[in-house]
Amino acid sequence: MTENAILIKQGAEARVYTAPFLTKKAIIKERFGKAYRHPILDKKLTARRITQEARSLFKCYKSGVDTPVLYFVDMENSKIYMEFIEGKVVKDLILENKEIKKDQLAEKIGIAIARMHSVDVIHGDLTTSNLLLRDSNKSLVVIDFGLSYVSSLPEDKAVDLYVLERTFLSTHPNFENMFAEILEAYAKNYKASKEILAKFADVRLRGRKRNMVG
Amino acid sequence: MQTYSFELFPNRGLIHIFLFSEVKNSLELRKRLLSHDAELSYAFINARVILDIFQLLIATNCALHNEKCSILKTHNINSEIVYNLSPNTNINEALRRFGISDDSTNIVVVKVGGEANEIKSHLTSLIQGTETSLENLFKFGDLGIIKKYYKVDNKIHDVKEILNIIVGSMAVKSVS
Repeated sequence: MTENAILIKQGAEARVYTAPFLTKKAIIKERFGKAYRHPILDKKLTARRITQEARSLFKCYKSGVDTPVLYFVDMENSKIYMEFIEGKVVKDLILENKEIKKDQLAEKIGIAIARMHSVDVIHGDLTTSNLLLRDSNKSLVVIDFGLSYVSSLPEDKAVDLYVLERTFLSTHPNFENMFAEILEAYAKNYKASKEILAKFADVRLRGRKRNMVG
Repeated sequence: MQTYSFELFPNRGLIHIFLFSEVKNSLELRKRLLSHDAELSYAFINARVILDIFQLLIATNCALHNEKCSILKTHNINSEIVYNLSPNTNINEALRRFGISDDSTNIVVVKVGGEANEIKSHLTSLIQGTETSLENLFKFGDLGIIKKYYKVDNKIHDVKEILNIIVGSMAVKSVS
């Protein structure tokens, strides 16, 4: 990596840096192996997750969801280089609860998820920490596709929505009506949402994990 | 001409990019390239498929990476740059679409390493054309062809957005 990389976040799965990259400012996400896993399995898992993340990121961008632009995938060193977004985290915006138009924000979120699901990308970790509002044009940016995968099952999409609802219940307890507005925009902008919303009602009753019988 | 340094490959020297217009000897250049003429150790690119310098930087960065990791898909760093401009893995098609053709009149040249003035005088002896400022690059780009090659939705007109899709489709190629 370059000497000028600055570590900005350390997680359980990856380290995130910012660094100058070919005339622009970039985010570098480096996945690291787990010592407790068998080395061959570990390598395969890391490679697969990088592949999934890069593909989902680009697939979403192409279908009109604002995401960081994919710059470069370095499989050999387990790194993804992408656009650095100048913006604010939606979680902070809601917590600060000032100068934001909540109905507009909810609509933007609903539309973004609708577009993402309409190309069968499941984000896997939809929280208000993974949503940003661009400073320049106030566009809603979805980030961190590290847990994303492709699926056309209404069940998977419903769980995606459920994860976001839980975030609102736990992190933004006074803004539950905002989640209802997100769902409304989602339904309005996604033709196939009926089945998903029906599933969503089931998921709500039972929780994120499906009961396995037999 | 413009010169860039690449953060990830500080030991590979500087990268020089030239733009030539009104080129008359593309036919000859292409013939020499096909016969692996060692004197033509440059990446020759058709200017009509280039929207922005960043597109060239991304392809070159990818080529340098493949070289460093010994995973070049083509003969050398120069053809690798041309190959990496393409959003898919068909080498033949990439060289045909993004490399120069017999009737190309506007040509971009990328050179990894070397000294700028030496390269410049060598190129002016090789290419029968006029060296032009890279600020004119966008004038030679054919948006219709670019959108077709990179499969950009016709509804998208914003040049910045088109560039982002181009860059993304080049980057995602390594995991496709």
